Amino acid sequence: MLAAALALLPAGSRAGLAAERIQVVCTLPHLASLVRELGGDRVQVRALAAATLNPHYVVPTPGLMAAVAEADLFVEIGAGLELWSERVLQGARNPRVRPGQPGYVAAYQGVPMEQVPAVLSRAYGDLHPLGNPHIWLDPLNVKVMAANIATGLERVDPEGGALYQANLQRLQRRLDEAYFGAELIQLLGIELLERLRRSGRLFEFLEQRQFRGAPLAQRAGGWLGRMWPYRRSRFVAYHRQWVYFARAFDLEEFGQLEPKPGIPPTPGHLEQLEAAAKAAGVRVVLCAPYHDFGQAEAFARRIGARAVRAPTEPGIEGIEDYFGLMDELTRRYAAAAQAAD
Amino acid sequence: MRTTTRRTACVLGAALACLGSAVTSPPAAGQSEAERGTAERALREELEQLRRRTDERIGELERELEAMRAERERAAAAEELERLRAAAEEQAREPAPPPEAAQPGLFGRVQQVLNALNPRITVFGDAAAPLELSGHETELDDRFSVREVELDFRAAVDPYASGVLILAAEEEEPGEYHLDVEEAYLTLDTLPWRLHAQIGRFLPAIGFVNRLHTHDLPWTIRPLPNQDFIGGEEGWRENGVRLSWLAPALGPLTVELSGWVLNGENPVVLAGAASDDPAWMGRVEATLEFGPGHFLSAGSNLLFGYNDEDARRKSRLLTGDAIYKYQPNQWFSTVLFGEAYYLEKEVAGGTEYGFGAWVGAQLQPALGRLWAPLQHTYLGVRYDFSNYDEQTEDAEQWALAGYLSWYTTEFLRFRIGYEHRERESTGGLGRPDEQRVMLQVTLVFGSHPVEPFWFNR
Repeated sequence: MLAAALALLPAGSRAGLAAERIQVVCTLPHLASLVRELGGDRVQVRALAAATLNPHYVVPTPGLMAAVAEADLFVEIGAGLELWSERVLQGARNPRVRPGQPGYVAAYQGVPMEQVPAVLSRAYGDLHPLGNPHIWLDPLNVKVMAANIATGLERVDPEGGALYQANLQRLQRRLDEAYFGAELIQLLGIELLERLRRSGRLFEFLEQRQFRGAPLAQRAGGWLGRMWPYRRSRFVAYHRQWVYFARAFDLEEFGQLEPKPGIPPTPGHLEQLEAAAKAAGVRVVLCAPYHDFGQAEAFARRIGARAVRAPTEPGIEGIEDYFGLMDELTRRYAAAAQAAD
Repeated sequence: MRTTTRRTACVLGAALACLGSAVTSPPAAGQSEAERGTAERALREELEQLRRRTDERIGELERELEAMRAERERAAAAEELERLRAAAEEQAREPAPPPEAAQPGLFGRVQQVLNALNPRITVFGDAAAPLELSGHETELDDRFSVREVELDFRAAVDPYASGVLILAAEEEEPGEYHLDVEEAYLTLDTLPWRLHAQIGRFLPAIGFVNRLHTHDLPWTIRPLPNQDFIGGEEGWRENGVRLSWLAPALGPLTVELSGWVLNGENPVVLAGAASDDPAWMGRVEATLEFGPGHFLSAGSNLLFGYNDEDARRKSRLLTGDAIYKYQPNQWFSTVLFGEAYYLEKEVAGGTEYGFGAWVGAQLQPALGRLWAPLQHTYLGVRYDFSNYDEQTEDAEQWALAGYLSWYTTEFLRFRIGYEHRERESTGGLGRPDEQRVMLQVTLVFGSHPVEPFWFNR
């Protein structure tokens, strides 16, 4: 077993090459991407879950525990997404990164949560008591998450505080520009745009208003500009995980293949959904890489829509970071919605 | 500005008129030809300069006009932008639309604070209907039975420790339940140097099956060696202390070392309730991870203690266990696992030796690809061997078991299992072969703690 272990040992992981750097362990790849943006060369970061895995169900192996045992900072979404992380943290025996310690960050804190259940019962499937935890598919939420992570980095590495804060500003600016586009930001200012978006009035405002004789919406760039033609388009998802994405681009999640969150699709439910989705003109079926794409594709065919294999994390299919993830997601959605027209 | 321009144009016109008349008027008397030529050139030059100055001035005036137009444009744009921003402010101030409700009336923010500090509670229920096909029939055979109900409480005690309490009510005779403390322990979670401590009553990690409660087993009943060497169908519970250390990872290889000091109350190997002397146990467990959901884990225990009140007769139990799991996705998985036990037990007049082992395989055959509700369907087989039974001298027995489990969700499982058991005894106390079919339903409600990595669902 030892020989096999040595054979599998990646060259870069030997001999503590990054002993001087702040060791950060994140549950998910997109969190690791944000840490890299914030920490640069000052941090060494690792994601525990692969991009192809369902973030709800990761096997908490000793290897994950050993990684966390070395960490100065542990970052997770929290909000009940990574239930397995509790066992990893317990097995890691690293008091510095336990919840409540300076080395622990729950990135969801401060993010306005959607779909917070008023009734907690397994009769409704796998509910998340704190709300839907797939928060990172809205770039505005990621600004909050990045701020939480920067604060955590500063807590465990006060000397790097100025760098983390400067990188945070830069990252938030990049996120704003990538989401709204530079022209819209120049016109309305990011603070106002963000408030409009959060209040749910942005799309209506851009649609109804003109500036210098042209529709204001024409000023939208970035991901918003790309998705603008498909606003209010209806989609069906395999799992209830796109609520924040829908909010970010004014899409309508019409239903899910799963009859209840976490419950595999049943023929009866699919039949009902099929009739309703056809009548409603659903154009896109979104399916994360860890769900059954074949089933999503078959359903899409039946209702005359397009199925999209929608990545939810960087680290697969050439997607390198969070920006790449949102680029790819919006590109795939737009292509599918256009093709279904 | 417009007046100035007009005035400039008038002056310019007058100047040009004068100049024109000067150039075209007849030459004065007495002027020589050369003088007239010079005067004409001078006039032409003057005219040229005047024309240039005029052009320049016109250019200036046009630029001024353009700037005025742009300024006016900017002012209008700024005004429009101001109005736009004011309108945006107004919109942003209006209350947000209600949050999305995927099921009418289901979602909305409710703070549940009253019970917030209570422990997380999980209830496990395990109902079975064992059908005895041949062999020895127990009182619980051929009837429906809620064989166990378990209450699991767990919470952080303070920033340094967590507590777990598991109470179980088991049906021992038809309709009669016995309440027992299955586990009640404290864990010290913030020890330095990668240490972790467990203090109280727990299921010691001898192999991996003993760590599982009955409702968590991948089979309906425990393998023979587990029953014969460490006792009981409910697993071996002990009071004591465990200290474990997680070694730094060597690439994909992790090693955990554990040591126990126990009361020594195991009724098979140790002195049972009469024990006055502690038992000691050590375990090494190594896990090699090939990738997500793909690993090989192997472990070994050595248990040492006394099997009599006077601490004169020693027992030594050496075990080995391994599990290989490959789960590339949520539809398909395969598990190979097994445990082996070797016992040396000093008894009156000599030493007893015993050996037992079981091996098993489990397959999740990706039926969910064909029909999604079958996603969590598992098939398994297991073979057991044991030549030690403290009640039957020189007994040798083996068993073959098969099972089919289907989970609607992780909270509800239906299972049908079959077991064939044969026993040979040179002491003449052998029991007839047994064949049993077991129907089982297991449910979980409440918070449901996360399973360990080697859990075989």
